[in-house]
Amino acid sequence: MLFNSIGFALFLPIVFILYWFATRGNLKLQNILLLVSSYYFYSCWDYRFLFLLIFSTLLDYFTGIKINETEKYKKRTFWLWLSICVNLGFLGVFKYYNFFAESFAEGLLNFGIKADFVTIQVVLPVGISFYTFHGLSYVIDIYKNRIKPERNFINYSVFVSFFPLLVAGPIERATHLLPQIIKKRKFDYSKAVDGLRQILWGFLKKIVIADNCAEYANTIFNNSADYSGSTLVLGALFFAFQIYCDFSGYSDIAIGTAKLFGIDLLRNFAFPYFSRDIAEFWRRWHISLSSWFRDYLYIPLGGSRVGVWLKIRNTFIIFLLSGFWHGANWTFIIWGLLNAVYIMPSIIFNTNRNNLDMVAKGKLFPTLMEILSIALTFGLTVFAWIFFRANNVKHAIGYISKIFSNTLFTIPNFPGIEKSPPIIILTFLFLIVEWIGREQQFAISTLGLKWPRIVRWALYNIVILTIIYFAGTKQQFIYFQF
Amino acid sequence: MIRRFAKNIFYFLFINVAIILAILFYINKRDNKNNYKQFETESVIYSIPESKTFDLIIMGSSHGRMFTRGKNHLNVEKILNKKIVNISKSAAGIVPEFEFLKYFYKNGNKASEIWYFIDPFIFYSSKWNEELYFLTDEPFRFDFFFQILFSNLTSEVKYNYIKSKFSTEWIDFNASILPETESKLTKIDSTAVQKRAISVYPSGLSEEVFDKYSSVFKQLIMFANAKELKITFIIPPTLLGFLPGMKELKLFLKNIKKDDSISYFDFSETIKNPAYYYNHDHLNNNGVDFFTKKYLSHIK
Repeated sequence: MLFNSIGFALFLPIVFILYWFATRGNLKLQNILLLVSSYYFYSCWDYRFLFLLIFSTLLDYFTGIKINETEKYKKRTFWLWLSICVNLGFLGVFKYYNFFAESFAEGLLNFGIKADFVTIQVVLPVGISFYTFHGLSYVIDIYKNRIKPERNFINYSVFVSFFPLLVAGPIERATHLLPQIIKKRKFDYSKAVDGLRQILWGFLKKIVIADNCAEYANTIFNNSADYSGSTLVLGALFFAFQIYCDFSGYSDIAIGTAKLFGIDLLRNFAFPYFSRDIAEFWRRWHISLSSWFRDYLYIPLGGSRVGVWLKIRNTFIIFLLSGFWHGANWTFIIWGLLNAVYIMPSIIFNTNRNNLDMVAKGKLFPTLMEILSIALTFGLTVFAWIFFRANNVKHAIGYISKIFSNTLFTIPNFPGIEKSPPIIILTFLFLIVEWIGREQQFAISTLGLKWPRIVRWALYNIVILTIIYFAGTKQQFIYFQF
Repeated sequence: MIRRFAKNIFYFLFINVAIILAILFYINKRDNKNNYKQFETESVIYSIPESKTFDLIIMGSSHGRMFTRGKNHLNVEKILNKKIVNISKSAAGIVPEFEFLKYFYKNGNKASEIWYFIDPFIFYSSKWNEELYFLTDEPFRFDFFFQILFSNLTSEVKYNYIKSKFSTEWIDFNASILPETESKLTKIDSTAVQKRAISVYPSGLSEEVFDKYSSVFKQLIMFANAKELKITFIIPPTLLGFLPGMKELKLFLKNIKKDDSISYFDFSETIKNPAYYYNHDHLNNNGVDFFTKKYLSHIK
């Protein structure tokens, strides 16, 4: 069930009404309802994978209790590794087996050895990368004595499979979400309104900006050999806005939906395209994943408290894994490594924490230096997105070579370009709103809150009509494939 | 608090629904004034009049539609000496076509027979039956909307029927543009043929899907029998060769021919001269003229 589907438009109000009215505030009933609805939501994709989700939940639930029950280091470590190996084993089989089998066969072929590995024809269970990381963070936190295990299976299952975050995050932490699930929840009017506003903004990003940009990006990327360098630059820009609005739009809808049930999820995006350097970009892009890698991998590896060479090694490991997390394709790995290269100067010269605050905080306009820094960071990011979007490495290299050809300075042209100006204008307007609201949780978080109701509602209606009027062809959320 | 929230949501939704309904009423009123002839538009609903009698209803996908595009409609009527209504639609399978036929009767129209130009691929994918946005270039009619609300079309198709009326294309609507059908193909491009043959089977060849849509065909035959309509299935000529699923389609037609009063003709291999086509899949105006005179005019 997609967020931007009729099914979800019916599902959400029904669950909301049952949650707040039928359960009469009974926490146990509310959690049972959330679990049943989450499993229903998940089974709309493929009910067979529901068993995998339940198995993964049971595994982490029991290993969490087992780790806590014993003081012995060996036993604790055994249960921890059991959970890690089984969880990553499933992820490996479903997501990476074919990649390794094919890459290994290709590698052997270079030595003249022909090997035929059996590849498996299996659909990737939606959300597996997300709920696996949920479960892992829970078990690791128990192992590190940061939290106590949750003994109530329903509560724990809701933590793993709460439907707004189940298929594409944000990747939650037990320390943040579990206490909210255990605690009695009261309806909070302001939070619910804030949630609805965030959902509305998320839909605008996804349906208007991302889905429209996707059509142009797909046309250009799928026929890149036929277009000029300037068109390919435009294609990369379209993809940059597609992926940002698609994923951050999804996160906004997920976070907004959770707020309707009185639950706060982790923030996932903080206006990344206004970053002044790559380190800042990675503190603002897919925050829940970046911070997961930071807390469960980078810091245990020594983090930044080690020497320069180890810091470099750790950074490369994190970005390599981050790329690999996105999918079993060399394009993702190169994308990760490219970002590691980008961030390297700030790691070596220890400037990676220079830009912690939002750019031009408290001011309307940035300085010239800030504009140049933002433009450079954005340019580097867009360049890396080419690898992320390309079908394979050869495609990416061909795409980039074509950009740097003498056709770079021609007027862009592709089928449908005549229809693109309204979308380009809307994207600019969208960026202006994002810039104005960049110090908030999401761009329209406080916009118009003090206006008279009639004006505020008129604004909501304008946004709704914009969504209906400018809706692009419906596209799957990009991060569902991960 | 929750009651206040629910009350505000109710008011907000009420206002929005009222705005949308007002716009739909306006569009409905405006579109009803438009009066297109069948060969001027691809919109089927515009082709469906009220309380009229026809000799022949043409149904099918683009292979049925091509008999109405450009000057073909009047020409084919003249050759066959039949008054024709064409309710076929590009990329449409049996599910949307059946809805158009029901709407035709709902409007008090009558006909003597149906020629259904049938393709094997429409049995094999929901894309041709439930997923494509068949209704985006159709005018908005409340009675048609209520009819499809309870049909097998997906909720996405139904939603898109409404949503499409809020687009620039619809606001500027002057009947949808018809494709060029005058041009001639000079040679058969085997790569293009292969590509096209693959593209029409987006979901592969599933027996289960075939059974699903063949059962809708059986419903259509029952409907036709109830209306005393003679029904003839025609496999149209193309340059695509022997398409996957053709064997199953012919077997299906043979079986229903035994049980019901239907006829079927296989013309798939009849015209192999590319000059009669404007692409590998569709006859051009000359092709339609030739095919109608040489083959269709003999159908009794």
